[in-house]
Amino acid sequence: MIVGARRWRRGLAGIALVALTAAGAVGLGPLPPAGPLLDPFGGLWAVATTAEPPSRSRARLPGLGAPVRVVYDDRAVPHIFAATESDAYRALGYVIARDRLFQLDLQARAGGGTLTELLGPSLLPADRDTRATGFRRAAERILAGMAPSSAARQALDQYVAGVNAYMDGLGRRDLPLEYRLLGRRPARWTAADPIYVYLQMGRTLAWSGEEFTRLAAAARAGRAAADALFPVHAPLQEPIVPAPHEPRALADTIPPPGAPDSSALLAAETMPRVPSGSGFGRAARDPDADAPGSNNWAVAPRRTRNGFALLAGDPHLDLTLPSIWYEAQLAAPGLDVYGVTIPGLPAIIIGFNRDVAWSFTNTQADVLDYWRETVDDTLRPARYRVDGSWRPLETRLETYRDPRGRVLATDTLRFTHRGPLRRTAGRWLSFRWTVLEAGDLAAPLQRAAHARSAREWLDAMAPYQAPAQNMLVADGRGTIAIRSTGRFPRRPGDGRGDLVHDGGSSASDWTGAWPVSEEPQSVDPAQGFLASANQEPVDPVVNGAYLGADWFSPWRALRINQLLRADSSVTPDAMRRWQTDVASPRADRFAPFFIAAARAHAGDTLLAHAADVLARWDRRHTAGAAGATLFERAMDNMGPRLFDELSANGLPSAMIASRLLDEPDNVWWDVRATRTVERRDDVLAASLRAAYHALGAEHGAPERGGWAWARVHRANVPHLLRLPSLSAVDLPPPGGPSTLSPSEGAGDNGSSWRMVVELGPEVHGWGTYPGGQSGNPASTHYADYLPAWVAGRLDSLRFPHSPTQLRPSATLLLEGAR
Amino acid sequence: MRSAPAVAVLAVAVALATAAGGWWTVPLVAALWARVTPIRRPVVGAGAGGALGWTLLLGWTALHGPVTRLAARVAPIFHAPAWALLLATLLYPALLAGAAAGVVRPRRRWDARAVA
Repeated sequence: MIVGARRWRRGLAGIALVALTAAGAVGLGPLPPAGPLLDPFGGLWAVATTAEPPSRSRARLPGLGAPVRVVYDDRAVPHIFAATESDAYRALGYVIARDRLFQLDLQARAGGGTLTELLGPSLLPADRDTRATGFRRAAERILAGMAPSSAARQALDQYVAGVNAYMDGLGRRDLPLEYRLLGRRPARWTAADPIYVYLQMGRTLAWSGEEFTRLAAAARAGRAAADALFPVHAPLQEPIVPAPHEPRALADTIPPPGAPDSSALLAAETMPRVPSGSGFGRAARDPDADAPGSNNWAVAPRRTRNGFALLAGDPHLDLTLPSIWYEAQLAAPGLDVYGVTIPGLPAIIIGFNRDVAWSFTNTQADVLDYWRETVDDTLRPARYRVDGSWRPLETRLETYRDPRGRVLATDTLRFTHRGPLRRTAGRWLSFRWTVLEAGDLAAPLQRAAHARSAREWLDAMAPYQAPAQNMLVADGRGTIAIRSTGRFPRRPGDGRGDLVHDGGSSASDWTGAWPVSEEPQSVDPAQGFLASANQEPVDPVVNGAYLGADWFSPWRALRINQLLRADSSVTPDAMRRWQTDVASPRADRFAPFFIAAARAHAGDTLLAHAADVLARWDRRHTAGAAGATLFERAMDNMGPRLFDELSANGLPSAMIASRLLDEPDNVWWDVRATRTVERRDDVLAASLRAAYHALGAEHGAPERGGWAWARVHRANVPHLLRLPSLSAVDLPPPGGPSTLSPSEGAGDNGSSWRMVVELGPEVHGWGTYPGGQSGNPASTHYADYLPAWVAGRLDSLRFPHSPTQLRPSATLLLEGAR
Repeated sequence: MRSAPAVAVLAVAVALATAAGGWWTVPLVAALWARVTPIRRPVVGAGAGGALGWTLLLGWTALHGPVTRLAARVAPIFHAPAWALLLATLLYPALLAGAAAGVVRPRRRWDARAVA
């Protein structure tokens, strides 16, 4: 009896052991394997032991010409002192891998279309989009175009070697948290991986589809109306290149809605899906969204209090933890540069050296065109027709694998001489995109880091191709300059690229690119300052050549220029305050019309209350502003009412609505769904009433405080895997839509790096970004910059001449293999 | 052999083996221990030794990094409070070691006379 019971217990124990071992080895459902996760020595908990770098450490970095000394300051910024530039880039790869390994891997996979190998089959649509966009082929071509002996290729190889050296030395205890949660390990890097990161950045900044937005509008309201609602030139001009009599509004009229255009409808249906399935790409841009937008401005010495040139820059991008940016100083003979780099790119992207400071905003140029192609087989084409003859399509097979290496799917991709060929709605479209044809992004930046003057810096950046940027630079001699730099296609005919071309004729192909001398630029303007905020670079009266048709509304540009014009004694602190300015020229334009429309409806008590709320508001998106909340909700309501003739997914920008404010009887104000004929004030009042009513239902009466802007709208900085506990959520918003410090939508986009530089005898920089240097969530440096970012403070950036000038929080000595 | 010293020996062995080889050494060490260690309740003793071994390691890790901060960040991913993740870390080796000890037949069984 006892023996039987014992056997029974032993059997139960055996079953339990098998189950526990299985749970430990392979995991249950979505849970990672429990064994390696919970192991307190080499598992999850080991992440805590790598939270902070040891105060003194040494590591092997094979291939170094001489030892590299890395000194971390109190903000965990590595200052890399190397004997040669190539050693510096090798060390940069190493230290970034040490701090941001998972981010490096993830971003490269997003650009290389191999997310399924890390995250599983659910990412297959995203990978398919990425590869169909031609990223892998482009990376191969970009690499093949780099001479092995070129400085750019060598820096790339050095950087990749640094990343791999860190991975090679990765012990069981060093694996980042995300890999432990996923039950994966990082893959070694190849030279293609930095190119994938660059292509991914190109997709964020330079993917556009204005052709299809206009076609969709034409399909519903006719081509004339569509051209006016989605104009090539911004109707409100405050351009980057200063010109007299600005700001000003263009006098074009907006024709009434016309008959639907059936051919446009057919064309609009072929609109290719924007590669956004992963969340790593970007969806089609909301015409009034300020993302991905940016600000930069510079002030000449004669308009600054200290008599030195000042430069400010704040790129607005998706906010993530860890941040897209990583601060570093690179010092080697002939090179001494500080700033932010994108993990994966071997260059300081935005920053300063001892003589020059620079920052970028996105140019918004049209560098992507589509062609309708005629193919020999609608399902599996092998040839396409050009100038009456058939040409063979280039094909390549793409294979997608899961984390265990099993094949998930295969695709045959096709390419014309223009670029990738994709089938949508039964039609074949090819596209050509400068991002896919660009050289290495980092090479010009590596050269520009050596510049001693603004002119030298601009010359070094001249070969830069994509994504096109408004490059602002200032130097210690007092020069300020800006140039919209990139490869801007020359097109035949009227030069427009906002229409889908006929692929049957080679006469529709690009004929070249703008020479650098013709790119929009300004050096030391008479006004003594320069500013860009993604607005149209040049007033079309000065130069009407087609550069693009996707300009941001110039609300931020208007505000920056207003502030700069009003202050002839600018200080670094003023620059800092302006970066977090929350005044809204957009509200200055629209709010009075809402108030007037509400008061025109005498006897409507709800509208009277709404008008009072708006009238009391100072048109600043401050934390307690109930008026900001009401205004934004009313604006959201107005768009679909005003443009009810169009699809809600393709509404014109607020610039167009602003034009219509001055035409109260314009037929566009009429809401087609009603029998009455609405005028401007009817639509504005209805929008405001709906906003007031909805906010009351959601947050109670406005006087109870529930409408405060910071209670209704929050900023969020999500983790790369969108894990809430690793994210910083529900933060006070840094501003509102279209303010200099923008925040809108889900609040997960905004100033991703704020920098102010004074170019005195000793250059001085201040900066911060919403995150921290470490990618380790247990580190004190995971999100330690966030409080400063939220409060609008900037940290003083340490830029020592030698390691001994710094009080280190940690040091790392990198030595080559013996 | 008295239980407490035996459990302590197992705890140290589990800690050393886990550090050297990983989590999967826990059932092996526990089984071996149960086979050669004559204590009255080997399953309970092995469970205690497993939990104690990982407690030692967790304590050592906590001396070198912010374990509680990490727990607070990671536990919500599993929809659990931080203490539950810490508890799971101690419970898992206890169950593993206990189950392994329950499978093996002790070389010298304290209850052999009862069976006879």
